[in-house]
Amino acid sequence: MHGSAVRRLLKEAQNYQTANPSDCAQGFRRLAPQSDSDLFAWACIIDGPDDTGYQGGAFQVAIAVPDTYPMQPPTCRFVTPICHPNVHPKTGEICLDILKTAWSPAWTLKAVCLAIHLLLSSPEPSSPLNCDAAGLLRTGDTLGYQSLTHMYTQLYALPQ
Amino acid sequence: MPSDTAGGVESDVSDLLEYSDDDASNFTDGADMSLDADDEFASDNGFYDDDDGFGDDQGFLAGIHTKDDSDDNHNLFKVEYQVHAAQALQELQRTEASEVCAIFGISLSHATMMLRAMRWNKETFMERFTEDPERVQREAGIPVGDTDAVLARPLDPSIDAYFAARTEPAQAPAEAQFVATDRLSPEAHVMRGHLQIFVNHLCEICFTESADIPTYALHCGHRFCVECYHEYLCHKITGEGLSARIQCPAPKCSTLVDEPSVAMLVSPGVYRRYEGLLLRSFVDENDAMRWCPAPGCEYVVECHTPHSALTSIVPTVRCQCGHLFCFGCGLSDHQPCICVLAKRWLRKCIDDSETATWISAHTKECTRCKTMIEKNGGCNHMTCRKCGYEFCWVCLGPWSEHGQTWYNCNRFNERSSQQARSAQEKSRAALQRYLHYYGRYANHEHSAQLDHQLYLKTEKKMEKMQRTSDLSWIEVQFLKEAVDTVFQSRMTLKWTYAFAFYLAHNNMTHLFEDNQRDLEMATELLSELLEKPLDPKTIPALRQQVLDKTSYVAARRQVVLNDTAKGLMEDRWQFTASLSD
Repeated sequence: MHGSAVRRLLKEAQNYQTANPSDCAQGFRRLAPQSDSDLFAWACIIDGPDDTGYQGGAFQVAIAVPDTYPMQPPTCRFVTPICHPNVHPKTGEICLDILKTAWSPAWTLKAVCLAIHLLLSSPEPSSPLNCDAAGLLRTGDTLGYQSLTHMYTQLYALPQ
Repeated sequence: MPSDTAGGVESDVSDLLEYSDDDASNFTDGADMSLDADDEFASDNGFYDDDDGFGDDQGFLAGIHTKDDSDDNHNLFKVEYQVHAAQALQELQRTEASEVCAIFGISLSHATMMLRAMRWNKETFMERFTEDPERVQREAGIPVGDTDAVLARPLDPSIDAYFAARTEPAQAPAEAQFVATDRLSPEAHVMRGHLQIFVNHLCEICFTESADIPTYALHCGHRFCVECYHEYLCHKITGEGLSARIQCPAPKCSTLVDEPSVAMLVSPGVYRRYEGLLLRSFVDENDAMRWCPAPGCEYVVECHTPHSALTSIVPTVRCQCGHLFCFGCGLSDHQPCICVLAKRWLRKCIDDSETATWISAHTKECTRCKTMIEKNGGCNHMTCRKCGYEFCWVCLGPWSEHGQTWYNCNRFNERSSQQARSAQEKSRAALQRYLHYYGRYANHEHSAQLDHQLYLKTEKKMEKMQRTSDLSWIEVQFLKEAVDTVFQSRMTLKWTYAFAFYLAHNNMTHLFEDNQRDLEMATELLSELLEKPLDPKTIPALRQQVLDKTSYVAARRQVVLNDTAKGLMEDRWQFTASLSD
């Protein structure tokens, strides 16, 4: 089990290293293992999508890969504080179906990052981890939601 | 049936005869015995069985009730059911599926998958399949257009080759027999249900690109290498305990992995586990089947009482292991109380009974704002924290009438204090009502538990009886039967109280309570009789008494159950609570 996970992660790492820089256009950057010594702890930077409160922000996401990968999904967590209905405000835990029940072994870490990027522009307020943010959306206060997410982005997520 | 509710022992003889059936067949023995005082128990071994028991007494009975009449009233509270051993399930499942196969001409594996999607309801399946077969197929996770791939697959030579390679590792893989295809031409990619070697096929799970790795795809055409498939299935089966609901590993593909595929791809050990899980799901997903809830019991009960009928019938079934339980909800037998009420009652008991008893014993209510107050010290001059009302703890009257000098209350009969008390009584009445029913419910439950000890005691008694009198082993069985009857009746009585708690107060309820009282009285009498010490001289008389009482209790129990069941069917009972959850 462990062996096949290592093999696949190595392949993924190689792929991402050699990939062309136009990947930036997909909404995330620097998807790679955090260090050379541990292949099971990855990180990546998600760019805030345009026309949202997250625009201009760079959000760091930590990806913990289990031994049983790719049979089981990786666990992802926002390291940069972010205000989003489906992200836990304290732990950064992400509620996304493909990271839980709808996981398929044919998804890759790249696909995961892409999905997280998409989640930023299309939140799902009906299953919230951050009730305040979800509450704003559910009551139709898009302006309030925009400003709140914008404020958080300005405070925490501007690239240094 | 007016005589159902007639009180008193004497007038119930007619009921007794009317309701005696196989359970009460020993009554016939008892009657025989009373006729000829000799200790001739020829009929103890069930010689007079069931309806035959009426043979000699027919004339005697005919004057009271006709036999047809009594047949109608028999067993209204019983349902038909079958008990299956776990080993027989596989066969059962196959029979169910093959019946459908024969009708529609589909493969066994597809029929099984589609029936499973329909929760093994054959009628629904047939109806919907004739209407729109493609939709049913899609819902069952079978791609449309794939009608016979499964049947054809086992004949595919490449599979034989693969297995040959697997079972005999020394032999070189029979590559020649594999279908070698060029890199993922669109047509090749959709070739379904085949083990194939693709030149340069890239498996999306392990990202290995290789020329000689066998790959596999379901009918949906999503192709992965066999090693990955194997690992995926093992993880789903042993890791997550899934069986029938394993999907193709491709993202968002809803095609289900069928049984032949699993059989081919996993090791025999994992496959056995898979089969076990499948059988489990066969019962779990089948509305007409239920595992016996007794610990360690491996039997399955099949009963076709629909879920919608549970408000008018209590489908009690007895498993082969002896456990008596309700098929509708899985709780142990709760006749005559219907499932919804039984569940609600149990929940209420867990939530309320302790608290309610404590509240009733330790608190009083402020007569103005009805706040519960516990007095934990100090004098009887109470000032409500909430509304500021001042009253006397003893008489509940307003303190103003007590004057300045009173310390002890002697004004119990003042009008205003009386009013305050009666108001309090009213608000406590609901609580008292619940406690009334709960007390009796709990009492019978407790007694039934004690009856286990009585059982042990009775066994000793039976031995003693064999030694001290000239009764044989078979002739002392009546004691055991009596204990069983007492236990059964207590269980029934217990639930009659839960049932009565939810009954609206009307004439029908009176009739119910009369029946309940008669059964309770009879049960207590029999119970008392069983506790009596043995005196060798009075054994024959005691035996006679116990036999009579036992059959009487059994008959009374039948009356209660029958009448309640009949009432439920006729919609005669009115409940204070709604029957929907």
